[in-house]
Amino acid sequence: MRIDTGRVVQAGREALVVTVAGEVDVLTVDRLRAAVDNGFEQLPDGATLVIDLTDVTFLGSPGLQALVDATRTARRRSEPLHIVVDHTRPVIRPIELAGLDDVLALFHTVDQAVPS
Amino acid sequence: MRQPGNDDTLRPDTSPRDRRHRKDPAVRARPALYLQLPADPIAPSVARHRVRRWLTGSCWPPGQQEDIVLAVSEAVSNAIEHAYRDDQLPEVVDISGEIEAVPGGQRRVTVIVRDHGRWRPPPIDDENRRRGIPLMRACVDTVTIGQPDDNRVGTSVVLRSRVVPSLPRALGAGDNDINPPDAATAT
Repeated sequence: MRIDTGRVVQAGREALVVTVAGEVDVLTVDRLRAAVDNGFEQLPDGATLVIDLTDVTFLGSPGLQALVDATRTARRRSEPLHIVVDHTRPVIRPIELAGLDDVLALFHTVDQAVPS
Repeated sequence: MRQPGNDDTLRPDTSPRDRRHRKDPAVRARPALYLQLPADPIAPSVARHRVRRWLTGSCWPPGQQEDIVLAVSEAVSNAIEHAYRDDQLPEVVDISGEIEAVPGGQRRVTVIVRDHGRWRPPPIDDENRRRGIPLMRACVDTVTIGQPDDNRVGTSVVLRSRVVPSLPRALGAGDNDINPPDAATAT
């Protein structure tokens, strides 16, 4: 699993994008959690944290739990968290099966996930 | 294949056509899956890779493959949690799979994931487990969780997939070079 964090500025609005590629399971999920926690720590005021799962090839319950926990953290910190899934079946399927498509703030693309 | 719990898949065939289907080499000769892995965090990814390869080699429809792979990954993840909670000698996880004919020209996969850790109730705050078991149940037709057949200590999870069409008769036994059926005709 590869994970990168980078800043994006779009139409004057800023986001920190955590880009995840590969498989998210019990072996790799701690790295995702750490990147998300770091993202919240580094997030400038008024910016949005975005988790881009476009290139994720597997997502199981450890990853789903990490996304739920990230959403809870975002609410507790009153900071926006947007998750990009682009209908890629390896990711959208478990999210829907777990009934989380109503719980997570889902977007089709990073562009759409950055508020404008 | 013996399975714990109710098993009504192997009812006697009711028609000569069903008996011929069951004896069809294209159905009987599909290789079974077996692997034994150390019960560590790498196990789920190895299991996913092997199950995917086995299902692809058996021309399983891709969408159904991913559901089965997800269910197996969840079961293996749960099994390694059993192992790590025990502080015993290194444990293993057994994964076995078979394809069986279903009357009516269909087939299904059964995968059994076994661990031998001493069973303990999952921790109250184990959210992965609370999510993992319903996720498994959504991915396959039935999930049966119990003790292994031979009364050994541990847990066995029997995953029975949804049925899919059998391969056309034109594809012979062991003919792994034939391309899978057109995706438009597979479920």
